[in-house]
Amino acid sequence: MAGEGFDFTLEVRRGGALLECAPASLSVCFEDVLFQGVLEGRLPNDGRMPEFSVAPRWKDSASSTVTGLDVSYEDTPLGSYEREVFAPQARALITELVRKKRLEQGDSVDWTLVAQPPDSGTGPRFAVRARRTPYPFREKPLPGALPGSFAIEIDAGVIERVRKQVVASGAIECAGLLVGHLHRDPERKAGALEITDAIDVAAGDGGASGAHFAFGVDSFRSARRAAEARGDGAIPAGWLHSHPSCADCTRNPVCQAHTVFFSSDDVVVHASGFPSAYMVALVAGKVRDLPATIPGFRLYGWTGARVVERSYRVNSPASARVGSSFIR
Amino acid sequence: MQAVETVPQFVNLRFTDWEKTRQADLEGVDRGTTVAELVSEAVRALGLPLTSFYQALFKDRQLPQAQTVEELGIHTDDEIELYPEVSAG
Repeated sequence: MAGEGFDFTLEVRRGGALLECAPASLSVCFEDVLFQGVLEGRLPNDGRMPEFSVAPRWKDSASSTVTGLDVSYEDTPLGSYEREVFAPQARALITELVRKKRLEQGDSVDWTLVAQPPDSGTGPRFAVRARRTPYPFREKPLPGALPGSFAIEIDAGVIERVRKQVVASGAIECAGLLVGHLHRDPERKAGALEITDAIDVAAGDGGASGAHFAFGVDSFRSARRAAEARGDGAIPAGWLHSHPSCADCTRNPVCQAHTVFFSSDDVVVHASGFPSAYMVALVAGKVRDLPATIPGFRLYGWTGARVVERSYRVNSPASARVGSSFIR
Repeated sequence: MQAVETVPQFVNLRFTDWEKTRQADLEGVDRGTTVAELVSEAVRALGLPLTSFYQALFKDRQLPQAQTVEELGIHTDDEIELYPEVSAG
């Protein structure tokens, strides 16, 4: 795994008193620099995580608190990351404190990212070697693509299929696995993700409701097997889920409810189940000025180690449309 | 004379993510190590969020987090899959 040089820790405090601390995972930063480095031809696509160097950006000279960090490889700067990259991890820590009743709704807490020299007394109890398969790029010309750019294209048939799935699901959340192909143009040093299909996913033991969809072992396993059984080389490219409108929305054409957003729980699903830098999440739901029977979409994906809204192009036999948010 | 077979005290295990794109080999694992301890180390090595819960699967069997390698009959070079248990909101 990548060399870090420092141990990074998240600290949660209430009124200045330390409530909880936990190691901060830098893997989202390493994944970001690796994918971008491979895309631009600066790093080999051999499945190895290079020995990156990490330099904290200190808040001040007197404390171990950092405002961000810089990642480099062989003295070449590859990426800069703000403290906010670690917000989902901090939020998960705080949620756990609430669950354990060490915090109550309404309590005010803050969190910091601190860096310290590694503690030589701790570490894995056994030898650990990690690797990943090379990114499954297929070479393809991407006319007009800018160096380092990464575009997302969704086949129009996928949008129609998901729309029907969401409407059929009614007031209960539904989910699916997005599959497709990852392209790279070695001349332009740019890439694209083409989503070609969506596979229904069954809810895990936690079930599904109007406000949640639980992913469990069978959700992921059956979706992977369905993707493998296609035999067309399509890879898991991300996931989709719906945020249903309430039951009344379908009977009220002037309803202004808006449910197309990415929640903090959705970020956790994306980070845990879809951590590769090219993976995306499609959210479907009720758009403010559209009836509930015509769900709208937004797409989210990794950018700079954070999950943010991404633009995408809809590929149809007749035309191509760019959708920044909703498709009508 | 009767042959005595000794069970090795340590095993080497391979962990993969659900997608099977990431692998972590844990070598020299004491057979008294619990599944929870293994999962924690493997999740860190796989670069997955440390704050989520992961179910360990071995030959389609979910491994109880409190049980040890020895109790579960896991042998060296066995492969264990990790699946996050998470909920979209």
